[in-house]
Amino acid sequence: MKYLKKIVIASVIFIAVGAIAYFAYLFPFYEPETSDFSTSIEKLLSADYLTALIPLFIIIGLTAAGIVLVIVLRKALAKADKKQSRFADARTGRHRGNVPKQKPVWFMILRWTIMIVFAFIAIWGGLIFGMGISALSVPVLSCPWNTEEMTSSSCYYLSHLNELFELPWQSILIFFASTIGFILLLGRAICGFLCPVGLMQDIMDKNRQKTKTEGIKLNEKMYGAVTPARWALVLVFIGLCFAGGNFCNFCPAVAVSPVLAGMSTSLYISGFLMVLILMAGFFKRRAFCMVCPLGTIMGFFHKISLFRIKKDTQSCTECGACYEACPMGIKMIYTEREKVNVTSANCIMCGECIRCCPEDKALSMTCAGIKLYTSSRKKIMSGYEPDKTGRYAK
Amino acid sequence: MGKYYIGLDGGSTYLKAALIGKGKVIDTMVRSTGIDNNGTARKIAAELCSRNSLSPSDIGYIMATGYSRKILEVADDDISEITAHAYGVRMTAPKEYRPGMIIDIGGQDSKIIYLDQSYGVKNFSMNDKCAAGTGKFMEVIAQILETTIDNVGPLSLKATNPCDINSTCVVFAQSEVISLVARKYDRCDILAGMHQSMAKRIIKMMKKTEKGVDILMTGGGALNTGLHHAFEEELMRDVYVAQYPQFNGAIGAALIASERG
Amino acid sequence: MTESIKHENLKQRQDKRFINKETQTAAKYLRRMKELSGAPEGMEPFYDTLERIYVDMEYIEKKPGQKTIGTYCVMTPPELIYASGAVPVKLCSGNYTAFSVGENIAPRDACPLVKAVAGFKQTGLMPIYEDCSIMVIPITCDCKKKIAGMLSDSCDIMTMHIPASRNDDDIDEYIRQLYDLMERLENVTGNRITYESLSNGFRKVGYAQYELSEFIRLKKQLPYLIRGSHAMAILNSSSYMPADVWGRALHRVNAALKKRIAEKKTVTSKKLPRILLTGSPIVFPNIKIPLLIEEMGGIVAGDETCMGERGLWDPAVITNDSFDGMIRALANRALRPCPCPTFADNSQRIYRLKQLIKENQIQGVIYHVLRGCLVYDHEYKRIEEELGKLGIPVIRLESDYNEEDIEQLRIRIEAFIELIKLKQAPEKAVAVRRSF
Repeated sequence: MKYLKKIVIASVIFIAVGAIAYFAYLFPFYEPETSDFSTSIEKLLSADYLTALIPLFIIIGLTAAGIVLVIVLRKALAKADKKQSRFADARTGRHRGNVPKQKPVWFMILRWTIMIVFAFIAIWGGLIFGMGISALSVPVLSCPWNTEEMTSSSCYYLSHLNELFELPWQSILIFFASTIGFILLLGRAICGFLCPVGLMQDIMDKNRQKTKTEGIKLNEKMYGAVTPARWALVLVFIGLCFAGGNFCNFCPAVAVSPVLAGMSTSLYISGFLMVLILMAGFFKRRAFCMVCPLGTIMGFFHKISLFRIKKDTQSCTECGACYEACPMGIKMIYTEREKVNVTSANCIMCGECIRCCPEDKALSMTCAGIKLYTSSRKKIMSGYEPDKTGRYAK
Repeated sequence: MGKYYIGLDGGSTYLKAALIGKGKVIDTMVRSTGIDNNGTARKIAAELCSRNSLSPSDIGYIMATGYSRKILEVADDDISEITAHAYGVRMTAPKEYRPGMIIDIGGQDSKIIYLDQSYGVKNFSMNDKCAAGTGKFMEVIAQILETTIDNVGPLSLKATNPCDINSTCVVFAQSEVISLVARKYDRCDILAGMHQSMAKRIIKMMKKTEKGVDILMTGGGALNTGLHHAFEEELMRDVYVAQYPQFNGAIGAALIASERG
Repeated sequence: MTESIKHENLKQRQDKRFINKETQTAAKYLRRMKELSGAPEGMEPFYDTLERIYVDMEYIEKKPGQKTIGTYCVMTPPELIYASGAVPVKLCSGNYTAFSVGENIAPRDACPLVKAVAGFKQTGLMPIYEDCSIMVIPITCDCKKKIAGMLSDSCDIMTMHIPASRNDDDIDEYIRQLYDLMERLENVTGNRITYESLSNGFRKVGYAQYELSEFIRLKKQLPYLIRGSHAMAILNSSSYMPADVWGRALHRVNAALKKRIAEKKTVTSKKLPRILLTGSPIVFPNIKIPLLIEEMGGIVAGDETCMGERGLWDPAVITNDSFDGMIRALANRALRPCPCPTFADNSQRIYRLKQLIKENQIQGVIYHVLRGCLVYDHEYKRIEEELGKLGIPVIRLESDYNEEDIEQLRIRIEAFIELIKLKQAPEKAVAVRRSF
């Protein structure tokens, strides 16, 4: 019952903010009707670029406003509630002090670096390094409307299957070869390491952690409830092109990638969705990834691709830290007691479960059987390490 | 270098000794423990040697077991009764016995030892804190009925209509027996009843999962044919009796000694 | 008038007798523990703590004016208590004297731990009990439930409902209870629990857990590094020491152990059978079983008991840096990794035992059951079967808080140790005999 209340409140706020976002683009100071795909390095360095970025600023501003609205409303509700009022301030106020954190792990640094580098490539790569490898299609949600992508995104032709088969057979071959090649090799590690939409959501999550804001914790039932939405989106993603529309009409990535590259496109629905995704990503890490159609399609291949999460079933204590940390809500990773391979179709290889696992070697990520990253007690406890005199860190 | 080994079993009432060599039991000896455990052990070992014309240097190793094992200075080492009994049955069990369970009925306690296929101890259970189901119980009842412990078995086999003895506690059983005597019950019937009650008590200690395996009786209690009979009746199956039941512990100790020496 | 004075005198005499008996037993077991060879350097703070609590009968170490909060079980998060500015003390008791008093209050089949607690509360003589501002009692079994009711007559208590399973809903429910607990703690101590104080609570307990992980890691590195009885003394005293003080003391022991590893020095040169102790908690001064094992020539190489290594082993992993995230981490830690048999499905305990067996090269498992502790007794059968498949012998020792059964325990433990020894290659020894 209390979940229902939370869900209702959240959706009301989200829809309200989304509506504002939608109408924001109708303001006269921004003219969305003209799509202008011309861009150059010179434009990026000139003042024109700032005007091109206006829609992005609107998105950021609205997201921030929406988040603040949610927090304020939540606090007011908590204060009104008899039971929760006592800790309303502790839960939502600004805080002094920091929680003890484990020392940075190389894996996470590497992941963030790759994500940022790839986002750079996907947005400005073509402008700087040229379009040499643009025939390669990488299955990520980084907008192909941005014609200056260094590599192209598979999402375009996957959502425009009718157009795909009008291409010369060489192009079709390259498209399928590169897309399937990437999926087979990397699987959903692409989501965790490459996807720019993923990066944006991760940045939102980092912001939440930094501001120590309480997130929304989904439970098993709610994760389960997401599944139909995901399948519906897959249907829309692939099927809409045959029904006269296409996914790009409202793909949230459209609102960001071309804009950053200095282009201006029509953003009505995309911008609206992007605000929602950023807000959701703030409160729930990688919220969009739970329903991402492209990710779902890649998930079909999780049994073939090279990246695996492996578990030493004996050293696991079922402490559930991995489940708590998992942005995708994969419960099987801690309940599994027999199989060594605990990779699931939803796993995006973000490595968070391994980072939070307190048992030595209980969880590890492997690539083609080679161990990349293993859980360690020492790393988990590194935040509590005493200084040289044996006193604990205050 | 000696090729002979002695096992000493210092029980609560008797001190048992076994001499083994060349893979068989050569001689056994039993003495009342008395108050000088140590002296008795020394004497018994010396006597075993002289009786079989061996010199002390022929004895490779002496192993003590039983309740007084820690104080027998003549022994080179000691081992607990449970291990000793489990070892002893390797030599004393009848050929057809497949290792499963041993019931040892001693003077002071009774124990059940579960064996694996290779005579290793899997587990064991003991009755502690109480004389019920032990040799002492038999002795006390025999005294009341004015007979000796050796006659208890044969007498009880003559019983036609065994009495019920419900108390498992020695003291209560004692008064129960006295009242039965007063009511002019036959001595044989009373003894048979006593054996039944003992068997029931010990069977209660057995694990349900292990009841199907072969059972071997050892310890002084196994000499009592009446008790053996009672066990077979209560369990409704055959129960084997070890070859030298009383010396089973001592033989086991000697066997372990032979592995050490 | 004279009647009441007479009564007063009688009570004084009775109290004196109780104190004498209690301190004597505690001192005896402390001495036996100290007499065991091979204690590492830096054990003194732990011995001193046990002595202070049970022999000198004093309060636990704390700042003046600081409140003490009594806790039972590993399910009460000490982090919250530190965050409220109080000190937690674990009141699970192993006291023989209090047990004999408690036997008159609690029913015969109640577990000895609960009887001992009831006994202490009845006499009103144990400072650590009398000092508690509030007792937090997780209801892990029926005995705990009834003792909570009994204790509520004489002191402030708070019960915590422990769910039978560990699903998401149960965790959410437990989080609610933790908020309730925080409210009670704030009322009792008069301090607010803030983000900062809570994260400092985490640091304190986390530091203790850091040193414990280090301790256990060292223990795994070299067999026979430390005796189990000494480890038990260290882990037991964590109940009566503030976590940071305990951590600092353990830091010194760890340093001594590191030195031992460097020098390859062990407590014994013989290959003693390595035994894992599991089952009902072993609380000082009821440490007869580890002491017997080590006196009979075995070594307790690991334990899976809630007053031992398990108590502090699982850290609370914070996955969300918010205030609620910390509480969530606590609730998660309290229920999910806990192999307490109070949970309906507790198969994870078997996996943990197997892991401990592998890590510590265990040769035999002793399953300790406190008479009347049904939940632990229930799990024995399954564990015996599972470990039997690995070829690890398991023996069940049932005992309570008195010394009458020491001889029976001794013979069982001895036979068990021999059973393991005989599986190893026998040591060859030839005795040359001249005469008898």
